[in-house]
Amino acid sequence: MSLPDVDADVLVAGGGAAGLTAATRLALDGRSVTVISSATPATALSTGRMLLDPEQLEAVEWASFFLAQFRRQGAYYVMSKRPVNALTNFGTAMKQSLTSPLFDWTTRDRDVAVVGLVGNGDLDPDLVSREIGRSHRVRPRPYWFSPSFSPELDRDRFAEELGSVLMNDVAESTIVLPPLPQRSPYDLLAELRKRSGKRIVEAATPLSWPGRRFQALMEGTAARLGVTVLKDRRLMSLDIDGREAAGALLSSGGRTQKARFNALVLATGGVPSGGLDVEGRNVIDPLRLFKTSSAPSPGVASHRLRSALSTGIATRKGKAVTLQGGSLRNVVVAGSLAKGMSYPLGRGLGDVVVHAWKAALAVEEVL
Amino acid sequence: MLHPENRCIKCGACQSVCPVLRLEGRETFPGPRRLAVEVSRFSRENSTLSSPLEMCTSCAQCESACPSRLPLTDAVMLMRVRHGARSEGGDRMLRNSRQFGRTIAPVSSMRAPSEGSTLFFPGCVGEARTASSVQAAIDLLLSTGDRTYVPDGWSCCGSPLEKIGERREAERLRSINAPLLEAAEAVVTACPGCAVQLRRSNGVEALHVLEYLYESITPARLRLRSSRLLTVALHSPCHLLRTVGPHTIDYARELLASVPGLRVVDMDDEGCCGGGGGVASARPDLALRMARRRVDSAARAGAEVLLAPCPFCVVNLGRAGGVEVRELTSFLASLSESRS
Repeated sequence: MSLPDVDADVLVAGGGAAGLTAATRLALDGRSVTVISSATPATALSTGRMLLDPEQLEAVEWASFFLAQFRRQGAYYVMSKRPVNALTNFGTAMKQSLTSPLFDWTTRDRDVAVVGLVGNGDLDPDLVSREIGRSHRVRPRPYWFSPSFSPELDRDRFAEELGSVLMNDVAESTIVLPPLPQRSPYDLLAELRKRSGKRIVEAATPLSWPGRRFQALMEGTAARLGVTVLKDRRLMSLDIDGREAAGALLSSGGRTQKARFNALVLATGGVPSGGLDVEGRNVIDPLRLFKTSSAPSPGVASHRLRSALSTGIATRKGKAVTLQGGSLRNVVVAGSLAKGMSYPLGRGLGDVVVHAWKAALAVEEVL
Repeated sequence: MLHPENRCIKCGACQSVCPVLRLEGRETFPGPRRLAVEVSRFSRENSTLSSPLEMCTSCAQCESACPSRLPLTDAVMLMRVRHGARSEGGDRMLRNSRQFGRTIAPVSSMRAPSEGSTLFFPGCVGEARTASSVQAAIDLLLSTGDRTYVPDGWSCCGSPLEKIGERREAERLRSINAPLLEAAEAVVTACPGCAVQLRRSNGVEALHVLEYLYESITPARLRLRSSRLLTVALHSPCHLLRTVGPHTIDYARELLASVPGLRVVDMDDEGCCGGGGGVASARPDLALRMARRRVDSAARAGAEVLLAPCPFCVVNLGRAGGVEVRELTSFLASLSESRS
């Protein structure tokens, strides 16, 4: 007895920004695509913000398609010509190109109050106020609010109470909040604006809801394009026929499932995501199928650290190279799994999606 | 010895998905990162943890979300054994096991041949608490011509005893079941916990009944039909979805989608029923709160019936009231025209 086979034009291993970008582009081209993913992708842990070069064709292509799709899912972003300095939940600034009237807390804002919610560890207004006070003339005012209701379990009463407090007890006209535990907070934030009469913005926050939201938008886009996403599945082994990958064995819980495809995209991420593993002094492919190599990169301090972070799956003419030394003509690497994509500290979602957008073209050429 | 603490990257993904933490809050239940990783890293002994450790339902959402693939559920269970006093419920399970070979004193037994080729493993909760559902599953298989049987002398799979640290008793039970399982051509059970345990400790390819129905019997042979229009919701049992495998839920959806007259609605919230990990006996208040959360979600989706392919889920969700809860296989059995 066995599970039904997975049959697709393209199998994409990895369900983060890279895998979903490549899958979506291939589906746009009319290919049948199945994505397999497991655990939490680094995308879901990111700030969900990105830096894109408006002069780069692939970046503009990516943005014009995906932002339209995001809009259909209720999220409003615009790609700005010049990067904006967004402020993070630590009060530091980060450059980003995707802006939204709902989310932007930028260095240009004046008359700002930072409101922390007791029980929400994502924003410490005192810390933020001190940090901004160090580098800017105007310091935002810190407030703490202890909500009587959970925004997740009792959304309406939470909004009513917070809206009233922001209107009556907070003097400033722009309020910074931590990310609220909502899949789609746009409605809640809009309601808070209406109730309080204030401009409500969200700090750029990693390891929190914004990353999960971005991940959900990417998944939603892929689903709308007819991409099949199979969660909690892992690539276990490849069936290699000469210079081609002919199929794969996937794990589903305690059992296995065969997959057949014409091309494979590897987008399983770097070391933190588990796409690469650290073994002793080396960074390796956890599947032990492919060779790794590091990209030459300038850097500081430890040569070993630099080489570990800049290592990825080795490729020849864009195709993945096996441990035996040959390259597989129908296996393409996308995103942080590629060399040079994780140094110095992760190149960011912008570089990852552009890399994957281009990788999809490479796959098209093979099919 | 488990050392997940060495590979934790502190991303907090486990914390954000933990259904108990989301419901109860960090003050009451610090979450898997604290309990499975930080505790063993920073403290040898802490009796104030026995209370939160009791609250883990072993749903494995944390494990599923962990980018480092840490065995978080096993680590929490290990912490529980190290730090906790055993509850009354645990003592009772051990007594029952020693006396009857079951964690719950058997009330009645299944009507089935005692010999055949497909061994149906009822499971303690199955036989004692959801007997009619288990009987319906057995009858359904028999009606398709399958040579289903329930062997005499089967014992608890051992899973609940392992979870409270009773390794020796779990091993004793395993060895009772071993020859019975070996003699079977196929092993099927309606309890995801049993399926996982039999695979892990007996090394048998124990299939959940959904896997057997879909892969071996096939939907076509079941001839499912609903006599009236009905709106249902499907609860994904944690151990079925994550440990037996996500394909089982795909099978469940396909089986339900193949029934004309049946409308399946999506719930706005995913999560654990609250019945696993010994929580139902150690912390029935928490089990009830979690059950209510799930059932309320089904009610909001407009479901008339909430279906769950797991006896633990059926029992615990049934406590909440509000929406009718039914075990999935017995529900399918009631729709099958292959049953005369």
